[in-house]
Amino acid sequence: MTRLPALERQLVATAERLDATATPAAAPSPAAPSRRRRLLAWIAGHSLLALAGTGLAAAAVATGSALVLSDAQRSAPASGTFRPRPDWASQPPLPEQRYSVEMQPGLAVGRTSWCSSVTVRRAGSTARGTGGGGCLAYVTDRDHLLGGSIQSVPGRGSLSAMIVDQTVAYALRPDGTRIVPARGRHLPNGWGVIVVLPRAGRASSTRGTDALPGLDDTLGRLRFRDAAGRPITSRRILHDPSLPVARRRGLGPAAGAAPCTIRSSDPTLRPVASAWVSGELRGRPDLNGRAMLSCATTGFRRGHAEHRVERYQVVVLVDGERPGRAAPMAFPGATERDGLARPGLGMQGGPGDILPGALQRRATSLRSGNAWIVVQGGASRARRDAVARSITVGVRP
Amino acid sequence: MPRDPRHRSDAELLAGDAEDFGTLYRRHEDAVLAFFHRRTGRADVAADLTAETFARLLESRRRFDAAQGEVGGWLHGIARNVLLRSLERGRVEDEVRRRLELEPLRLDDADLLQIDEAASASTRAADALAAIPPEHAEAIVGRIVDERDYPALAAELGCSESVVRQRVSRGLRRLRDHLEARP
Repeated sequence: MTRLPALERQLVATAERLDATATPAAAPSPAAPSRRRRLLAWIAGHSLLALAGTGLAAAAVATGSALVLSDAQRSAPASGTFRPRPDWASQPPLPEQRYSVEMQPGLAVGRTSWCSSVTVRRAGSTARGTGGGGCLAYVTDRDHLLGGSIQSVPGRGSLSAMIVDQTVAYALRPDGTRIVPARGRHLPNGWGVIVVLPRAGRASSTRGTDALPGLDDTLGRLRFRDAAGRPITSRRILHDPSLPVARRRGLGPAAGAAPCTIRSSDPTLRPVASAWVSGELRGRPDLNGRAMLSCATTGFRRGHAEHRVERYQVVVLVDGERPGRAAPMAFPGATERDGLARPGLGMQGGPGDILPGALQRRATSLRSGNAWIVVQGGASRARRDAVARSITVGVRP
Repeated sequence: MPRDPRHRSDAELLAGDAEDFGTLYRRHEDAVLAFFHRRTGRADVAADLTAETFARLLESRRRFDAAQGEVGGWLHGIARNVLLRSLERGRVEDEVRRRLELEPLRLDDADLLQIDEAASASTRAADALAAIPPEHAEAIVGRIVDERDYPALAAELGCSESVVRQRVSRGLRRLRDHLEARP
């Protein structure tokens, strides 16, 4: 069985044609990535898992050596710019790069998860350079290292980021110096980040006094400590990460028939598929950082002509610990105006400075009672806002 | 009598005829779709990127060298290149699809639902990996995902080769138990 039978048919037919004509392949061979690159690629995709494991291992082997406070440097901030020094082989000089490390609640229904993303792009460009990150379900209050991500910047090394909670006072480098996590508005509820900026060749320069020039970019070599200098022992618990979820094509259940329900008053929106928590809306008492539970979603479409179809994904988020309590801001760092809040709205420079990561697509959120309605997709911010305002949710904690 | 395609290796299928390539496509389709779905969050974009990835694999399949690694790793490298180039250019890569004259995919709601399901299945596998001890997961990733040999892994993990083998073996058993316990 195949998910895309039309693609398989085309590929088989094209393979027959190529074999029949014995046409030599014209495209450059995609170079088999080096093992290190493949590891980085895999880490970028599974960063939360892999680097948490690395962090745990790192913590386990950390020594108890005392450190001089003046050795500490503050991490590069969660978002900013850097301008790597030109490598001796680089022509022309390398342009300034912008980066952003972000967190947001996971939107997978039935899960109480955190997602992170790392985005790098050339300053002034509208195209992202690279993006990555991942989501991790059920981060408990014994789990202090949310995860990290490594993003390669072509020709410029790699940018590494590790998200840590408030228990982590600093990270210890192999040379004994310390890095203090940076906090930021778009990292919620006491979470911080340790950012290691890329090096070009053997050296780099960075803007701002908080930068860390020339730091080794291997997150796995960092050791994490609490305020008393003790190694951080972080414990991941992943049993039962999801509440029971039901799915159906079209609209989900009517109000009152499930803990969370979604309806739209806009007749031009066509419901495509829905998923919702089918059992009790059960909170988890031991979450780290006010994580939120995604309790229902419906995908909508508007229009029929293939090139004009607008797709929207509507998700309901409730407080993960106590679903009946007012949920925290859906997108950390956003500013709420008339009930609406968008990722990045409160960041420096306003919405134009948003760097939506690979996971955090353009989105709008609207407060609805104790819950948040999140709308992703669509052609414009105004249309997303309008869709959000057409949505009615029912939440039965 | 030809061997059952299910029992043939990826490398054999890649070196085979057009039908073999179809078998290879079916074998890896879910993994590639899930790879892109996780990173883009969109079923339609994941489908387009998957099409470009397999088009590139098809075009370059005669240059595959088994001595350089396994087909899965090669395919993963292609997928990553397709993703990075798409992100750099701000649009979905379709260069090789156009060169091979593959038609644009037309997806209906059922197709998109299928892709979401494929991504969901992959998430379950990632959850299972996260649920086993970190040292087992580390060994499995090093050996199976990264295809490193045991001596190199042992040096990197600071233990003996036999310990790495043991971790891989036990980790796979735990992984299987976990997946079987959660259908």
